[in-house]
Amino acid sequence: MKTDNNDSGVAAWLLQVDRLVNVAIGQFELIHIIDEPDYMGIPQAPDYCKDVVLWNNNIVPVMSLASWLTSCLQVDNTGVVAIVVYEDEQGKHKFGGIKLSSPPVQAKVKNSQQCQLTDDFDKWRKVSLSSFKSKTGDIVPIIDVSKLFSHVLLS
Amino acid sequence: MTDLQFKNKLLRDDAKYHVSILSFAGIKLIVPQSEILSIESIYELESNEDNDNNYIGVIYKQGIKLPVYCFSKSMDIYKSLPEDRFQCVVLQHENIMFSLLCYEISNAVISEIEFHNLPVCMNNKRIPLTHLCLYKDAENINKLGMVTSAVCLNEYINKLKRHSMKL
Repeated sequence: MKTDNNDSGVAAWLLQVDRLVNVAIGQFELIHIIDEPDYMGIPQAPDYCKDVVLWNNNIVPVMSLASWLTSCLQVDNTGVVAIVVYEDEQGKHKFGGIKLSSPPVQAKVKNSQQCQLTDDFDKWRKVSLSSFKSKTGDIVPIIDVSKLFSHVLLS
Repeated sequence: MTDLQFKNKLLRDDAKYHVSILSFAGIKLIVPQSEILSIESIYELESNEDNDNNYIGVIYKQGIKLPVYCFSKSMDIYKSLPEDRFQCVVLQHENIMFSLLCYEISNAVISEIEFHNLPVCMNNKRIPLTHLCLYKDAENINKLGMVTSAVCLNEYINKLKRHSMKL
């Protein structure tokens, strides 16, 4: 995400992935929202990414970051899925889904809000570009969407 | 097997893809029709008297005793017979031959099918599928499918056996 000189902030989407956790992605990375999609469960897939959906003739893997965070299969998501776009390791455009607890919200993120991830957010270091403090004082990781949908979480 | 080889395995002279769909526990697996040796009634199933409790029973095919496996929705092995399995499908590829218990087995002829590799973020090497696919059903509606093969399922079963031996 790039800011302008007077630090008026850059547009981002805030995604609530768990009742207590918000993450941010770039404005142009979120391209669609699906409400209660038809999931196809993939046997033996990791709990945090066990479903795919059909969207615009694409097979889209769907991440449950709440499952990943808690290492627990049953999580409290609403059925809203954010469809995001990213580049894979070969530079091809791919689509991924992220399960949300509530619809996404737009926000402006300023340089002055930048902060370090604390030890509570250790897991996020694998997939975040940076982080900032929200107006309510919560730490919000900024997600590297390409990394999130790579093999990184499997290792 | 490359994607092209796999695709060609499904293609017949009519330029259409001939597949069988194995349904159980709410999931549907697409396999090449050429790998279905036969479909047997559940009444052919004999109880498993071996020490290997990974399979639920045996059937005899061409005089050969074949293990019959039964999977849950997540494709873990069931050790006792669920009520919703009525057919045994015998899968064969070269010297591999085994049977799976299914709710239903059907054949389909598909004119368009697109194979996709498993998404990188979920491919933990444990998934018993060769591909995911997009295809058009008889009503020309796009569908998602899970594709597997006798070789892939056999490798998966062997992995489960090795794992259960370690426990």
